Formats: sequence, structure tokens, C-alpha cells
Amino acid sequence: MLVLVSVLVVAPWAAGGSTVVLALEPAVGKRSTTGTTGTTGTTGTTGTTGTTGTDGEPAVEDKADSTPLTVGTWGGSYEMAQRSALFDPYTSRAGTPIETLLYQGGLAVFDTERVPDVLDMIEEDAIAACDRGLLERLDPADFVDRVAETDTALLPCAVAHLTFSTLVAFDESAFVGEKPQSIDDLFDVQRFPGKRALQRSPAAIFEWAMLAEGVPPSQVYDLLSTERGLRLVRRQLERLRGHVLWWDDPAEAVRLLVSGEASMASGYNGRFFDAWAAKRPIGMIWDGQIIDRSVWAVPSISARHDGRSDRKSVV
Amino acid sequence: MAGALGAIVSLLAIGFVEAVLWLNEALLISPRSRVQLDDPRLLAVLTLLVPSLGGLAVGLLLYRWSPARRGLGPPDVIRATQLGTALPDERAGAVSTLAAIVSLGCGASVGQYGPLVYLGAMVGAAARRLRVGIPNLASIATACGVAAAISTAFNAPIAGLVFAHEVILRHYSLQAFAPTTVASAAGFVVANVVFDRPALFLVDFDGVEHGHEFVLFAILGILCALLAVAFIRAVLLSARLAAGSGVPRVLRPALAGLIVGVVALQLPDVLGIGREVLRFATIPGAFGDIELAVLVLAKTLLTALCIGFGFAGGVFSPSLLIGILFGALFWSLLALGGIPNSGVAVYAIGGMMALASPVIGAPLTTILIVYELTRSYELTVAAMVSVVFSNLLAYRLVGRSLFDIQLKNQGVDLSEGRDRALLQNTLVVDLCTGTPHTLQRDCTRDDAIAALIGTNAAEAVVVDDGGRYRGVVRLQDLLRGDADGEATLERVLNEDWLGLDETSTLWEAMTRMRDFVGERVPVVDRASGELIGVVTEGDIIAAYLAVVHRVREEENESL
Repeated sequence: MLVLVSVLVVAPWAAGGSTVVLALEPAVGKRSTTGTTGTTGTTGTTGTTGTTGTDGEPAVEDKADSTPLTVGTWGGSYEMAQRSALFDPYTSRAGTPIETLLYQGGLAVFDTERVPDVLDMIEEDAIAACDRGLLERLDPADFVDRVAETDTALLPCAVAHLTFSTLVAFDESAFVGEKPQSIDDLFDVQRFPGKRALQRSPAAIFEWAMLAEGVPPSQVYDLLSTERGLRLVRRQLERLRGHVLWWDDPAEAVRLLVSGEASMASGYNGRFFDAWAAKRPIGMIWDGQIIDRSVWAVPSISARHDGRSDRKSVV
Repeated sequence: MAGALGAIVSLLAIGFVEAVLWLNEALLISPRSRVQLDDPRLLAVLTLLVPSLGGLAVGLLLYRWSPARRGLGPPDVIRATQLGTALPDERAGAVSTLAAIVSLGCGASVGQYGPLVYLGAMVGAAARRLRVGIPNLASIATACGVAAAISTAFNAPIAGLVFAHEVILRHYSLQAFAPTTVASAAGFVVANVVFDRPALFLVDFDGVEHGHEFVLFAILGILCALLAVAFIRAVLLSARLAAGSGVPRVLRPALAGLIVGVVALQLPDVLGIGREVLRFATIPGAFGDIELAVLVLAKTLLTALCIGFGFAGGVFSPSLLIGILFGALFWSLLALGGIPNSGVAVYAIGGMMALASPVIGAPLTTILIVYELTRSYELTVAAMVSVVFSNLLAYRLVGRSLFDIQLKNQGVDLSEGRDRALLQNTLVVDLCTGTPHTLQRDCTRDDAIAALIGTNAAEAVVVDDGGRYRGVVRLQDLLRGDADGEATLERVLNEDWLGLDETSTLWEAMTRMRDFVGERVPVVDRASGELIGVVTEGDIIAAYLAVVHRVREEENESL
């Protein structure tokens, strides 16, 4: 998994893409090992999707629907890449314009006024939402021609399309001799001084605290399920007291690292790679990286059920 | 055949463990499932109910459906192998395994390795039906099953092999060695290659840093021996308490389960196998000292309670848990005292094995388990020191293992070796040959002398008209000068002749006949007084030689 992610994320970079859009486009396209052969980064080939993807809903293909489809997605260069690779081709083929809504994770979006028709969610959010009945259940038959790995990509309420990693990156120039290599080093302010930029959320940092105690990954959540485990996490975090800069926006993490305010930062591999591609001295601690997937899901209160299969077919 | 046996046992063992894990998730025993329940009151109620109802289910299962009416485990396997008898009924075995799954699934403080060992032995015993014509097939097949079970359960094939020999077979013969190794390896292959099951216990250990620590390991071993002895005594005492408690057998596990539930409200760590606790114990400072002491005490008492009161399950897992907690406590006190040491891991694991090995009587196996679990040679050597000292002391205090004590209470004494146990379990009654020549009590002396000459004997057994034994009459008594030829045998009868009854064992006969001078010994029914038969010295000697020969043959043959 690690190798796969590295290759897939490094390869486009290595191909010398200087703009972020180009760098990410092939990554998105290639990463969709769900068999979406039609959309490997170029707009032209989406024409072939018509023959295979919409077998379940032939009626929609012909409908020229001009009510915009709302897609909740993450913004930034990621969204720009999606627009170029996915949304615009879809609009040109199906005639439905796509509007994007900024979505930063979690389930709060379901309580808002404007719930998007399609959501780009993190896998665990999708699972939780599905359990609560907030998402439409998907029929595997709709995807049978397009999905090669039906058992990993297809979830009851969502389709996986992207793999990303949450990890710790560090400022190369802050550590001249010994470089941080394992996740314990995040907590070791003696050997690796400097501030850490961490997300203001228990996600990732709790797991890292357990891993730093030598707990094998398979037992991390079992131990975190106990009071004692949480006490251990707190003990680890105490080591960082006074050394933390909290971020809410992932771009902030990169900025703090690049500006030198933080010597280590947690964040997402894509953004760190952007910075690396822009020739910043950033190193990665791959140990302890937490691999997640992004999935497409359709909220169950969406009015646009008919748009769903089409939408997935483009992806 | 050994390979197939090993593979089958391995699959069953994996199935067993997965079933328990699934139950733990479903019944809110595992921390992960417990934390996801939002309602603390419901959680408390379920914590009380699950072990209690589980106990009720176990009680019913064993009492109603098992011919043996109890959970089966390694002592039964040892007994069958050492005495050459069959394992208890298959149905008893199947019910026992199911009861063990329920016990463990509901969070009872018992272990999983005992039932797994029995499961392996059961499958092995089924193989003996194949009649492949291999001598001693039964014990070899049993050993194969047991080795595969341990190999799968611990991901430790060498330990599985050694366990089968050290605890079950208790001798090393080439005949058993080869198939057992194959079975053990097959178990390992299935567990790792086919299923990719994770290693149980990898810890970071860089080596013992200070020489004086070896003394500390020895001290730890000695302390663990004392604790192990206490644990063994607690288990035995608990069984006696249960018997004398007046609580009906069916309800005993339910009562134990309720108590476990009550304790678990405060100390959820006592529930079930406690994998999380095992891991926490290797993290320095995860437990406070008082916490460790309390947990050691609680787990010891609760395990004794559960086993004594009828839950189906083993003692090995709880011993490992108690040991690792004690080891961590020992280390913690060292750290408190400012004594330089190499970290908690080596003391925790050393303690774990030093406590468990005297309980099951397997020092070699536990040393190997450390190596195969941790892949650390330094850790193994350190643990070895603790294990050895622990076993030395425990042997002096209670003997080889808890299993041996339990077997001794059942009349199978293995403390002086297998020969004696076999001799103690062969009945003299089975050796009586033919119908003995008897004389009636009212027979005359002259007739008696004639009868003795006629049968070429110098003694005869005398019975009355009801067939009841009266005594033995000897030729020299009959020929004494002044006797009246027409008198009956009454007055020359030897009534205090050596006599055996239907419960007499070969061992007993040999011991009592040591100073015996004569030809034959009557075997009399204790209740009715009737003569059952007669054994001669020759019969005894022949039987003894047969036993010894059989044992030596099994131990020295190759396949």
C-alpha cells in the first residue's frame, strides 16, 4: 500500500508536472483503479463512458438536464483538478452543469440547508453516515462493468476513488544531522526540537501516540478503547506541551512548515508533495502514516437520484 | 497423515479463536465494543448479565449434554496418553469445546489453550480409528493434534512440538518425534501462510544491559514460583469449596460469572483473555503499582473461582496474564528503588513465563514460546533464568504441575513416572486366570489332602457353600501329625492370609506381596465376600513385565 501510494503520487511529480493541476490529474485518474478506464486524465475519452456506464439508467443518458448538480468537495488545487478531469467532461457529455460546495469533512453538512447531491467524503465519514441512513445505498450492478476490485472499492453507500495518507512531514533544514524517521520522533522534542503543527483534532494524533508507545497497528484501536489507553495518549501529548501550533486548514500546515515556524507538521501527502515539487526542503516520516480513502457518496435526502449513476460513471 | 491432522486441527483451532473473538465483540466483552455503547447504565447491566448468563449456559451445557459433566482439558489428555486408555466420550469432548467457547466468549476468567489442546487431542484420537497399523498410534496421533493446536495458537511450531512431548507424552522417542514435528509445522503453515495471522507479541528489546540483572531475573523466578503455588492452591481450594457449597452444579458457573461481572464493573481488565492487558503490561507506566497488585490478586482469585465452579477453560492464559502483571510490578518496584535495569519488557515477559511454566509443568515449552513470540534471543535467555528458578522452587513445593495434582486426586499418580501410574491403574481382578480350585469348608482333612495332591498344589482356597471366601489351607497344616483325618478344615484354616479385593491395583499387590511366601492370593469381592478369583505370584510378575515392556517399547521404537 505504501509503495503504491508513493508511486502514484510521486510518478506524476516525476513526470515533471510543474502545475499542480497536471500533477494531480493523472494521479486522480490512475488512482481510480475502480476501472474507470475512460478518464485517464484527458477530457476526450469520456465519450466512451456512454457505452458502459449507464446501462442501468438508459433514460437519463438522453435527458438534457440543466439543473446544476451540486458536488461537495475539498477546494483548492484538488478541486481544480477535479473540475478539469471530471466535472467539465461530465457537463459537456450530459449537459448538466456542476456546482461545487466547499466540504471539509464530517457529518455536519447533513444538517445544513444546502446538502450537496454528491459528496466527496473520507471513507470513515461515509461509513458512519451510511450507518445512520444519511446516504443512498448503492447497487453493485450499476458498477459491474467499471469496477475491477468490487470488494475493496465498493462500499454499501460509496465508491472509493482516491487513496491519501495523513503523515508527519518535517523541515529538512531544521534537522541537520539526524533526521526524524519513526513516529516516536514526533514526540521527542529533545532530540528533534522545534514546534509541531498539528491538526486541532484527535484524528491521527491519538493513533500516533499509541504507535509511539510501541503498540502494533492491529492493537491500536483496542487499546484506545480503554481509559488506560487514553491516559497513555495524554502522557505522550504532554511531552509536546508548549510545542504545538494548531491548524484547522491543511494549507496552514504546509505554510507553517515552509515558513519555518514549525519543524514538523502533520498533514496530507498531496499538499506536502506540492510543496516538495515546488522545491521546498520538506522530508516525510513515512512510519506511522495513516492511509485513508476518499469516496463518492450520494446523500439520501438529495433530490437528484437520477443523476447518481451517471455521476459515478464519469468517475 | 500427520500433516493432514495438523492442518485440520489448525483450522479448527483458528475457528475456535475466531468464534471467541466474535462473541467478545457481540457480547461487549472486548474494549472496542464496550466503548461504542453510549449508555453507561446499560453497559453496567450487561457487564453483570453476560458472564452470569454465560455461566448458566455453560452449566446447562455441561450438566445436561456432557456424559462427563465437566469441562475437559489437558489432564484428561495426559491421563489417556500415559495410561493408554481412550479419551472421554466424543460427545463429552464436543460439548466441552462448545462450553469453552461460550465461557471465553462471555468473559469468564479462564484460558483458551487448555480447550485447544483438548480439541487437538480429540481430532488425533479420531485418527486412531484409521487403523493404519502403526504401533502406539493413539498416543502419537494425540501428540500430533496437541502440537498442532499449540503451534497454531501461539504461532510457535517448535513450542508446539516440545509441549506435546514435555507435557503429554513425557518421553522422547523418534517414533513420535517425526509425525509430531510434521503436524506442528502443518499447523504453523496453515496459520501463517494460508491465513496470515499476526504475530502475537513482538516487543522491542535491545539486550540485557547490566550483569546484575540476571540475579534479578532469578529473584523474579522465585517470587513467581510462590505466586504460582498460591494460584495452584487457590484453584484446588476453589474446587473443594464448590463441592461443599451446596450450590447445585448447574448453577455454579452462573454464580462465578456473576461475581466476575461484579468485579468487572470496577476492573474491566479481568474479563476474558485480556489481550489488551498483555500489551499494556509491556508499556512502562501504563499501570500504577497499586493497580498491578490489585489486578494480580483479582485475576488469581477470579480464575480460581471460575475454574473451581465449573466454567470450561484452561489455566495457561490467566497464568500468562497474572505473570506479566506481576513482572511489570516487579520492574516498577525496581525502578522505584532506583536499581538500574533494561526496561519493563524483559521483566514482564520473564514474569509471564516464570509464573505460567510451573502451573502447566512446561519449562522448556515456555522458554521456546518466548523465543518464537518475540524473536529475541536476549529476551529468551533472560526469561530462561526466571523460568528455571521458578520451576525449581515450585517443584519442591507442589510438584510438577497443576495437572499432575489434579490427576493424582483422580488416582493417577505420575510423580514417580509412568510405570507406577500404569501399575496403579491396572486392576488385579483383570489378572485372575481360570477358575480357582476351591475346597468347601466342610471338606475333611483327608479329602483335602487328596485334592491338593491331585491338583499338584500346596495351597487351596476355602469357601463356604455360598461361595464366600473363608481362608486358605496349606498342605503342611493338613499334614501335621496329631490331626484327625475326619475333621473339617475349620481348624487349620488360615484366615488372615493375604487377600486382595476387586479394587486392588497391581501396584498395591506388588507392594503387599513383597514379603509374601506362598503360591496364590485370593481376590475377594468386598461387599459380598465372594471369591472372585485367584492370582499367583507368577501372574503378578508377568503383568508387571508386560507393563514395563510396553512402556519401554513405546519410548524406544522408531517408526
